[in-house]
Amino acid sequence: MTAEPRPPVVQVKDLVKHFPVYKGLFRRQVGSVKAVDGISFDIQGGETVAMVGESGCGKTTAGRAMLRLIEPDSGEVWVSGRNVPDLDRDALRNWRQKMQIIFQDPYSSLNPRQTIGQIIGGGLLLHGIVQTAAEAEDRAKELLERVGLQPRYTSRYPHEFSGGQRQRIGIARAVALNPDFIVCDEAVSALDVSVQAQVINLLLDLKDEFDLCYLFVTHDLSVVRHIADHVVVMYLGQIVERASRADIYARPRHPYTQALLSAAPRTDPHKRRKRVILPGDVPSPINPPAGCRFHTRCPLAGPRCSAERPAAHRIADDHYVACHFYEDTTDPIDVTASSPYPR
Amino acid sequence: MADLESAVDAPVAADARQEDPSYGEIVWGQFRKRRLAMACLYGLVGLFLLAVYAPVLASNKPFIWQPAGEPVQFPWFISLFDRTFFENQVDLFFNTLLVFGTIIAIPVAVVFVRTRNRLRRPRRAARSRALVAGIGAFLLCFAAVQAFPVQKQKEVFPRIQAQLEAAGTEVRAVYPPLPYSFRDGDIDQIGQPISRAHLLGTDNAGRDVLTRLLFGTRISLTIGVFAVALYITLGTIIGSIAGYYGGRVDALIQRIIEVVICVPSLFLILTVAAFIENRSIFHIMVIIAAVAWTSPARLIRAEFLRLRNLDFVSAARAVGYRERTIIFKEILPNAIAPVLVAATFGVARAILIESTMSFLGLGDITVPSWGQILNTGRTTSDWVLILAPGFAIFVTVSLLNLVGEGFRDALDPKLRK
Amino acid sequence: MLQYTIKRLLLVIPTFFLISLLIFVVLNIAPGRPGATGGAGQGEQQNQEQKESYRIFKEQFNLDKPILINTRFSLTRDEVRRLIEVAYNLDGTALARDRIKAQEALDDYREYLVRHLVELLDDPDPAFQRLVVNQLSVSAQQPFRNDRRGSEERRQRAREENQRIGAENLAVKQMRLDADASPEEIAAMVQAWKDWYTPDKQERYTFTGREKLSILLLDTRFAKYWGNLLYLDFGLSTVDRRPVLPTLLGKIRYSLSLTTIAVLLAYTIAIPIGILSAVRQGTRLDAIVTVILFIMFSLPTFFTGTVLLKLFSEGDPFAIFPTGDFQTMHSDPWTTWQTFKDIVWHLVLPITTYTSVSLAALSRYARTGVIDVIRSDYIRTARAKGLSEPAVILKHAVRNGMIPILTLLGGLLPTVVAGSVVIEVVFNIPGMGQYIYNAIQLRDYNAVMAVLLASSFLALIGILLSDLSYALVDPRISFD
Repeated sequence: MTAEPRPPVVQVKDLVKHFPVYKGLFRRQVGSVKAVDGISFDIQGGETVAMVGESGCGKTTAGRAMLRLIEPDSGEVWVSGRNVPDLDRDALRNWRQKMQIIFQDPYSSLNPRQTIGQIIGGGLLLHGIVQTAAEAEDRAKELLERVGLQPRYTSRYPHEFSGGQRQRIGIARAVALNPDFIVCDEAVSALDVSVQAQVINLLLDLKDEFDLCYLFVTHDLSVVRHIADHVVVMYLGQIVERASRADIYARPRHPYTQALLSAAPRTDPHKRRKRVILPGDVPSPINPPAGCRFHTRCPLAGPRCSAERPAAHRIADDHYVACHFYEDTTDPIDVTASSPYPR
Repeated sequence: MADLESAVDAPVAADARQEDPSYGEIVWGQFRKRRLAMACLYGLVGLFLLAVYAPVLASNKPFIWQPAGEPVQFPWFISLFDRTFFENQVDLFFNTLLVFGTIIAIPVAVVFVRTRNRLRRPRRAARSRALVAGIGAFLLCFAAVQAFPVQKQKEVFPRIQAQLEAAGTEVRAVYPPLPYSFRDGDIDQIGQPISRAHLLGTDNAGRDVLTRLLFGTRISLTIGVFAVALYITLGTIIGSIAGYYGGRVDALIQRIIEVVICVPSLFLILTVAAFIENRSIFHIMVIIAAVAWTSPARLIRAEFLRLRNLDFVSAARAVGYRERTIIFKEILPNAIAPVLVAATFGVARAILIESTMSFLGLGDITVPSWGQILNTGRTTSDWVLILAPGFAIFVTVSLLNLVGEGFRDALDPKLRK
Repeated sequence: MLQYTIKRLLLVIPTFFLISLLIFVVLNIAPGRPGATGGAGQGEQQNQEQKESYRIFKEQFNLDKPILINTRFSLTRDEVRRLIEVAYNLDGTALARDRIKAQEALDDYREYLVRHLVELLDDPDPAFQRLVVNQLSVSAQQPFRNDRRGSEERRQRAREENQRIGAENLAVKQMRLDADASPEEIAAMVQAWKDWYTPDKQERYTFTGREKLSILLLDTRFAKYWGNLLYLDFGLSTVDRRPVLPTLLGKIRYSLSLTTIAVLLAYTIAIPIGILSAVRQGTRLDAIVTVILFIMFSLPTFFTGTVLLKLFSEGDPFAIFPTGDFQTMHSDPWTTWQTFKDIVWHLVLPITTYTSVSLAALSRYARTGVIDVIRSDYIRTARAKGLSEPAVILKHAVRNGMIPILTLLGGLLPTVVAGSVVIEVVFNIPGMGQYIYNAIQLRDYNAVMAVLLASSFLALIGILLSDLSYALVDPRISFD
């Protein structure tokens, strides 16, 4: 999957989103949930970046803040050459054509009172991609066929479909606008494993066909292994490690990544590996630990870790790790980077 | 595995020839299965038709009027749009419905019957086109009626007929079954008991009670429907904004709603009504609406708070729709159902409020409102004048409440039949 | 929970303020003049005495002040001159409507005119000077202090102050000129006024920035009303010129005795009916009860009341109960028991009416409450563990099913105190409902305002109580 180098379609720099927490009689702000606390990464054209982490680590917030479905507090998000947080309301509405999202819950992501044709075709009319309702309907039919559903379904309502079918409709809606970039927010997590595989393969096919790039937000490492070109690992609102898929699986360098990977189910039951068990719970994102956020649970933690926030060290091409001891972390896991799914 | 997916690929409601029912059609299908509610709906339609065709049943203008040797005249028809006879816009509105509405309804009905067996999309489009065109045509007619020249038909036809016939002139005249005016009394007929001529007797001004009841239907239905339409619109907009934006906007609107709720509504309505000079039923509708908008606003707000966090709203935003579109086209259709149920009960309540106001002498004194007739009955202590309007109010309110209940049950998925 | 309670209690204050604002504005912008005594009407036709009494009336009820915001300190001399010109039609072009308006403005502006009027005394035209002098003799009169509230000492002081003001006003009132005054008389009077305008008066009638700010917000009808309200002074009735509050309190007992009995009765009947028809859901009994309740629910109160009255007291066919009123007028002393019997006898029909209306709604509430509970899992569990059916129903279902209907009680507070207009009018019971009904028709603003405010306040408290009680009984509700 090594294509000629292209400029990144998406560039995220120091994205921050804090949710204020109010308390007491007069609803004073007593703190904030630091859901996304300064993350940076790029997505190249035609590439899939997977964003992984435990639930509550801020990955979904990050994905939504990039599209300004949640207003970010600060930072830059360049999509196809424009900085999304800087856009005014009308410019943003126009630019939304370039960036789309596929949601986790196929049941709540389709408007129950609209027909499939309206759901898929509405954006086409809005962005002037087609001019008449009839054209929108035709285009919706083509798209339905492309995602593997019957074109005549345009006149039906979402409640008549199964979860997998609905997710296909959601995909059709996203690619209808011919975007450059799609955030897949846990897009397959709610589906049965059998359906999951098909939807993932559909996404991969569409990526090539429509020349897309994906940010694949997920907690499912087996999906990551199958779909990702690059992997971004988040912990408590910050990126701890990012690298190419092969690097992450073969040479994880951050202790957290190592623990995360060791917990993933493996396809080969005969291979044994050392499991890294992390002590304690994830600290509250309202009062995250000072210094390295991971130091309260890190087996390598030293005094420096609680004092100083580690910078992202570049240890190889495209491999960055935010750990003071990156030189000491060796590869404890024997990982085969093979995919569990047939393609 | 691919087989598995294509096996479930067929939609749940399989049959391809059958139409895919929209939410409205599902609810309607459920409603139709409730016999009592359906019967009440027919009752309401009947009541509406009575209101529309009231002049056909009761008017002191003859359909045909021809004293011997003179050309034929049609005083009844001319009186329909005569603003000196039907002084109230409500009556003009219903008379427009009576004449033009009937004419317009025919082609619209034809379209509906013809599209009965067609496939879904063209059928729905044709029906909504026909409906919109019909309503547009009607509104045009109503506007045109306003410009209708004022006629001077001051004569009381039955009396002239008697005079002419006494003088030996033959008169050919065809009257409606109840040849009385709802407004002008006959001094010779004050306080008549029930008789064949006056099926429910006459009141203390010599007006036929049945005729007044009949025209009172127009007043009650108008007040009910328009007041509710007004406050539902108002409450929906305010509630949507509060629920969608949340935060400070919501807190502010909540405070306003709380203020309005705390003021006892009947007291306020009566007070404001009493302070308006020459109040008309339009004032009454506005007053009712100004007090009652809070309940749909609260309902809608609660629905919006629930819905706005669902992904389809984020999806709409991600596609790039305007906020106005998201509020009113994406979320509102999902939130409106409980409000429409409440509206049905609201019509009943508005009718009750209006009749209470009239009963207390704080309504529009120029119209034959049921509450006013009952008040006359109380002061004159006449059983018919108490029971007849009371029964009319009771029946109307019951019909509305039962339809509302049927509607509510039809919306409740737990009670699907 | 405590925090929630405190928060809610604190919110009562701004909400009540907003309620009073709403009611006040609605009542004050409503067309029509309060007080049937004369009215401003045709300025020139009124004799001096009528005018004077209307002016005092307006002063007494603060009707000469603007409703919410007072900017009268920013009047200019030219505006005042223009007002006089229009009011007395000096250039002969003013419309009657404008003249009345200008005349009224001159009456209302009072102390804000004095400074400009004194300056206008220098006008060369003696006729105009005469008008200015006469206007001064009205505008320079001072309003009286409120001597109805505060400690005895304070009231005494206010009364003394008022005597002084009265004397000054009398003097000022006499400094006027008749229409046939000679130029010499006019000149003399002008001089007299200039002498009157001593430095301390100058100070009184020119306003500093701070004074302006307090005038802007405080010298208004609303502020004055609230000022009185803080002393629980609801003002005087425009009808009988007596304080509203004692009258109102006197009315409450009639409404209260009627509604408390009716509500208690409604609850005691409604709850068993509701439970019964919930437990026997779907049976014929349930159907019959539902239909009867539905009929009662759809019958308008005034209809039920009128029919009962005619059936049982107007002798058509029965004349068992009295035709209205709370008790019989009598001169010979009655024992308590006799009075009690008499009152009960009078209240049978109104209570029946009231109960029949609320009964339907309440028992439907009770029924749905119990049905909702019966469907729930823990009832199934209770049955499954072998509890007898009555135990299941009484111990589990009823207890939980009654929560909603009991919390409704708080919301009934305003209705209980304020009574029902319709029932009190139909049965001629001299309670709050009838009081506001009469006050509305006589345009007795202060009385209407007082009833509306009092019942809104009770509603506010009622909502608070029912929310809090709901939170207390239902542990699932939390307020964080």
